[in-house]
Amino acid sequence: MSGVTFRQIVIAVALVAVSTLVAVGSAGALGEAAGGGTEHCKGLDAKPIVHADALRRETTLADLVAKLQARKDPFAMNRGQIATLQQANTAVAALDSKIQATCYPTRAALHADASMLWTNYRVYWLRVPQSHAIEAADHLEEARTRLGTVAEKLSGLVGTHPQATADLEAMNTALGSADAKLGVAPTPGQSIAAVRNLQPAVDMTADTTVLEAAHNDLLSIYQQLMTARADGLKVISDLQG
Amino acid sequence: MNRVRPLARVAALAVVAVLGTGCGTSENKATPITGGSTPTTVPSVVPSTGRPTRTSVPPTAGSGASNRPSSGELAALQQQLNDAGSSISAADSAVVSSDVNTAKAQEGSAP
Repeated sequence: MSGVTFRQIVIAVALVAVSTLVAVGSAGALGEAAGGGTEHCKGLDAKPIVHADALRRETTLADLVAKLQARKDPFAMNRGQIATLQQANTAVAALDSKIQATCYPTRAALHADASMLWTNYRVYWLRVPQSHAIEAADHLEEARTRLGTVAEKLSGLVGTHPQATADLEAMNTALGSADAKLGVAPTPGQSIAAVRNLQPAVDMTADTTVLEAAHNDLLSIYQQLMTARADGLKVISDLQG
Repeated sequence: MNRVRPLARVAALAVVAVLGTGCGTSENKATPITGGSTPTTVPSVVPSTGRPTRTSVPPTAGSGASNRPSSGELAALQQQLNDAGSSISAADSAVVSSDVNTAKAQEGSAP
């Protein structure tokens, strides 16, 4: 022991210190890789919220896909929309996984990633009304076809019955008004066709305008078809009387 | 020969007259029944082979009632209108859900 010099002691102490630092550093790196809740990862309290929002969106997207898959697609809009929704679902799940596994050095960094879940996909602001508009047009086209078939048959039955003729004319007028906005399959009306091409945006002003126009037209088509059906029932009543 | 011929001719005419009268009687009786000059006698024969249906009767000018569809026909059309009503009802919730201003409220914001 007497042979140990002061210089050797200093070297030994330095080695121990370096080893300790390396060990601590390795543990920290492992913690980050595993997404562990190490103290230096920021925004840990926000991760469950992000995860819940991601799951809610995945469920909503899957529901929209199921609804469109069950329809007949007279305007050839459903297939493309289904693919878009499925891609969004996959991307939302991947983003969620990334966020949950990442140790963010700042809360702002986590917020930047989490914001993509909203601005990049716009599940509720865009995909929900867009998909429902396409679905509504699908249902309304089916109703329009059925009403048109009835109107055609009634035209051969009204003969010279004045009231039945007048009611059938009203029915056909309502159907014509519906056609002007719904379009005639396979060509959708202008506002409905415009919905198909909408994409998520940071500024949703333009998208909102298009969606509002389509919604208003769908409401109008719905009312016109209700009127046409009521007129058809009147024609039958006229002929029975 | 000259005496016989007139007698034979008379006899022959007499036979023809008798036969002709008999045959002609039966034909003349049938004529008014089957060959009646008025068209109203035609339908009286038809029922022996099958009763004409109402729709087979040609419509009278100015009468819309003769074109009246059957109740079954109207019931079928009413059912088709009911089916159309189901499609309209199915569209109802989709139309409501296509309201962007309602939908975007669910979007929320990033934490």
